[in-house]
Amino acid sequence: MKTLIIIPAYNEQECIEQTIKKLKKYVPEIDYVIINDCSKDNTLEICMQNKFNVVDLPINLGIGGAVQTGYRYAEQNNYDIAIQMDADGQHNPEYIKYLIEEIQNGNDLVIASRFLRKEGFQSTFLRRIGINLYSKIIELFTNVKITDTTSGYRAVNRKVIKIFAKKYPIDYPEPETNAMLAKKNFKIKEIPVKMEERSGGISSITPSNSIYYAIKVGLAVLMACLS
Amino acid sequence: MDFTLQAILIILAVTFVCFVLLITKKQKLAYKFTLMWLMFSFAILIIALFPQIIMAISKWIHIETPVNALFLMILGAMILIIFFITIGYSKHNEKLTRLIQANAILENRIRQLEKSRRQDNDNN
Repeated sequence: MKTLIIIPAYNEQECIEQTIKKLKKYVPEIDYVIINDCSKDNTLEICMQNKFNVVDLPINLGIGGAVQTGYRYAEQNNYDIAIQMDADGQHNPEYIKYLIEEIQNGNDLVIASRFLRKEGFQSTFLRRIGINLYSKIIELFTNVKITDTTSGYRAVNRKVIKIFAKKYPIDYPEPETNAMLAKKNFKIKEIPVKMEERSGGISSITPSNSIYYAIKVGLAVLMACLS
Repeated sequence: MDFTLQAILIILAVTFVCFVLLITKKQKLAYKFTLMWLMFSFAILIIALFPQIIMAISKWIHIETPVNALFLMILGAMILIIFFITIGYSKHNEKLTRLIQANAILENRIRQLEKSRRQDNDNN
């Protein structure tokens, strides 16, 4: 099955080269695409110098718009599986084969969860509260248990690629899309992974906007569950 | 409603209509919005010319001074208009996102094609 790895990148000059080289070492046969979301640093230059496959957004779209670009790319180029992965080194490429395996087993969405075995970097305390809350909401409305609702390390099949290419939330998209797929009775599976702490760059969630995001995402998850 | 307020409303509405028509003539405003603002001005004009309407309304919704009923109605209309603008803005944003994405994917494709053409040329 034709697989594409989607790597959204915003100001990732410290780690993008390392991430892609590691990726090429682990899964040299799999295609990847970097979505440069109008980075202000040298992310694009580093990609060009290394001849990485990069889609360069001329205007900053935010994480959702960037990832959706990857899904649209996957749809247009007829990929059967799309895997979303962060550029900052948090996601270890050795799990890619397990994600693909679970898609081949008939799952529509496979999420790499850091909470199933509680190994590795467990995120910050406040973020865990949010993650738990979204997890509870989704379980309450759909009876689907997703432990790591905000995980940006996940794989989807062609059916879901098409849906995401059409509609994808703008910011902090994972919990909302998980809720949406759970509600529509897609088959969702989590696999346990160990995540690293980010090796460079900064999180898009800052203390000052975190409450706003938490409420907005909560609302989005609720809407997805009710629709 | 006293006469001065009536006069002010009429002058404002007429001036606004002229302004809207001028802007439309310069093709800076889409016709559907021209129509919306003209209707809005027309409503103000009607109210100014026939204050009985607003008096009846204020009595009906238990507002003591008719001018407050007028303000309430204008405020309501404004909120409605702003709400529809945010809907339009959201739609617009989505269209723009689509365009940016399509553009970026095309640019990537052009680069790939150029690369493969260069390789072809090198081989020949």
